[in-house]
Amino acid sequence: MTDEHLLAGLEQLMTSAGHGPLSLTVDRELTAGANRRTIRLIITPAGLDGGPYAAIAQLVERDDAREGTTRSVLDEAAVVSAARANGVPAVEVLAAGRLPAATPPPIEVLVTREVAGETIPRRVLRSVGAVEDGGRKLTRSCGRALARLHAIDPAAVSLAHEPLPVFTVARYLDHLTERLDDLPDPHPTFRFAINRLAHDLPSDPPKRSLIHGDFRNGNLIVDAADLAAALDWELVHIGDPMEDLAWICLRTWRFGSDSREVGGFGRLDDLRRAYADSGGRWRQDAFEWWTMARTAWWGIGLAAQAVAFVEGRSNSLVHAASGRRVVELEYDLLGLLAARVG
Amino acid sequence: MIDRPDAHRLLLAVAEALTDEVVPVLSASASASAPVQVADPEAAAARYTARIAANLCRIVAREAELWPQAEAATVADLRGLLGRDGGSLEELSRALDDELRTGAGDLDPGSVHRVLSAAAGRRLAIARPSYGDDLGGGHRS
Repeated sequence: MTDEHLLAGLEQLMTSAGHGPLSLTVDRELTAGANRRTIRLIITPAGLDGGPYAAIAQLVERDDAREGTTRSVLDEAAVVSAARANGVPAVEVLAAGRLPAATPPPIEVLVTREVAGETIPRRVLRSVGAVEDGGRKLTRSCGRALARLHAIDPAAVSLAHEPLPVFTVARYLDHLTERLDDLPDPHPTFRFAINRLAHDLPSDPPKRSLIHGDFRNGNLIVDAADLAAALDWELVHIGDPMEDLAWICLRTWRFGSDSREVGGFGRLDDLRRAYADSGGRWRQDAFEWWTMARTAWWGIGLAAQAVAFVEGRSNSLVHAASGRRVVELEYDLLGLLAARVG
Repeated sequence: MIDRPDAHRLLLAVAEALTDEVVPVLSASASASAPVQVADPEAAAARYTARIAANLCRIVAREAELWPQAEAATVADLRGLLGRDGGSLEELSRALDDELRTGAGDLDPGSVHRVLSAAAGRRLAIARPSYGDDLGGGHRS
């Protein structure tokens, strides 16, 4: 698709979403992947509708033949909008739809208003360290944001393409086992952990919630030491709220700032209290179970990245290096398991 | 007929050159025009790659030094745990994985945990020696 077609398509999409008349230019390309591009746009409303503003457009080639392998950005837009409507700091969706492309594959686009702030984890840690209460405000905002997200009735979010996957604890354990069995090399630490997880299975939550799936330092826009927006909703699903709370506390997302359990910037007590104060129900046994399960999942995920490199499906140095990070997650997991094996 | 520097020393030299010479130049262009939003994303990506490359060189250098002993110790532990007289690390790892998966062998979880923790500690000494200390003397078997 030429830039000219792209701009015309985006303008049409924005206009039909009620933001027109306007003119728009591509400021620059932020990321470019095989079938996904992210670009920064400058949008200038015509007439007296205020000054120009920046927006981010995600463009995804949508191969209908491979339905189910990538989440439709239209579905992502529906979830993000529902979250935002319920008070979760999330990006504002300006428009979402298919570009009227002349040639297949069709391109889906999600346009959101640019949110100012920092996302790079170590910079986030530095920026909150610079203010008086450290990461406390950010921690509380994370607890509140997750409580508001988890309060949404998943049935009330209507999706255009496919239903969200549902993970009970038992089903998540099956998923972990399948992922482990897919790896060519043996990983007895993860096998050992899975046995323990099966032994200590907690009860499922009284009601299922919308789960972000990747709510952690690195996917949060942080501005003025507070949460401006949660990003990266691609892994959203239905399941146990404790999954999200465990994930943001994983040691791997503390980026060396280990004494602060929450993303390397906050205390677990502050997160727990903020979550409960906003109506969330904290289940400690499930939190601990998900901490182990998610640590195992990420370790298995890193091992899978290394396999992709070894088998020639990826030539990324990051994926090669992932193979040597697996042991970090094993070490964390064995630490979590220590108290359970006596 | 001995060529110097040896592999270990060469890898450390490469790591040092990447860290001290390449990364700072890329850092300068990655954030030259702060605010961050208009920094050069290609320089930032190249800096990230250079850091990973330097780290991998250090891992390989440590592996050459530490792995022979680490492997022998883990093999001995696994043979003891599984009650075997022989077997390579890969065979023994697979045997342990199979026993854990099928529940055969009726292994004592505490013993399995000790063997796995010791092995992880040895691998971590190669992959990321500071990691165990980061917890402020956390668990160590």
